[in-house]
Amino acid sequence: MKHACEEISHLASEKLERRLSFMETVRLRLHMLMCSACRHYDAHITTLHKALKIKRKNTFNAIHLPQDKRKKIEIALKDSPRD
Amino acid sequence: MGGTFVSNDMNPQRWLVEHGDILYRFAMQRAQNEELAADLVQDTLLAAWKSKDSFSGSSTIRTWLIGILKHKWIDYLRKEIRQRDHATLAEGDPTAWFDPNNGAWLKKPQQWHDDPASLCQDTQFFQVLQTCVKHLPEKQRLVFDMRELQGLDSDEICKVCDVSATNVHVLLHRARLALRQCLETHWFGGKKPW
Repeated sequence: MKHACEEISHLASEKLERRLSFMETVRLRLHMLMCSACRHYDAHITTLHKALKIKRKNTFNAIHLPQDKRKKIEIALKDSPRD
Repeated sequence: MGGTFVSNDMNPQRWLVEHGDILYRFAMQRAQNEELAADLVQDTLLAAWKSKDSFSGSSTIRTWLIGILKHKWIDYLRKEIRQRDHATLAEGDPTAWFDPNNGAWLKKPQQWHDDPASLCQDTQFFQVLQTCVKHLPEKQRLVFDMRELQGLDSDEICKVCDVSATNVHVLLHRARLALRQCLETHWFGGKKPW
């Protein structure tokens, strides 16, 4: 198959962005059965994608609006015209 | 009774108390900067108060406020990007990774031995990753940053950049090709980071 790895690596990335069609999934899987380089590529970008997702989630929950900034916003809200 | 409930809910001071943290989290995840994030929260609350009549009650106040914040951030990014010199928005060479004759890998990806859970705990890995991201061509860096570091979805990125989803996917694909190689060289390959 001409340009196989180039196309398959694109599909592997698309897989993280949208639901692949049935035929696309079959093409991806079949190719990866035969090609260890693409299998590794798929594993790498998926690992990176997942690691960043976990990282975002962990950081997200640890963030709190600092007191001084909260105070500043409170004052700005008070100064804004009411109706 | 319903009327009293709504008017009680429509109080920006109370929004700040009840939803300040969650709004600031979304803001920090995007802006990665405390001042900018706090400004974003303030703008969101002021804008929400101004357009309080548009709150339909079909969602919760929290969802409504987060929606406004997300819009504000997209507006901010759009302006930011437009101000940049477009000549610097280089795309990078997409053909660098494959043999032009048969589309095979020029340099085959090797096996890595890390799983997402341990990688995401590794601060050194993230330093290397961030350096790799910095070396990406500008457009790819922007899109990858929005998608994987800020956690925006494709739809939001399309709005920021005024491009199609296909376009965004191509940029993400190129960014991943380059980043993966960079990580293999500087992290998994054991070569010292810069």
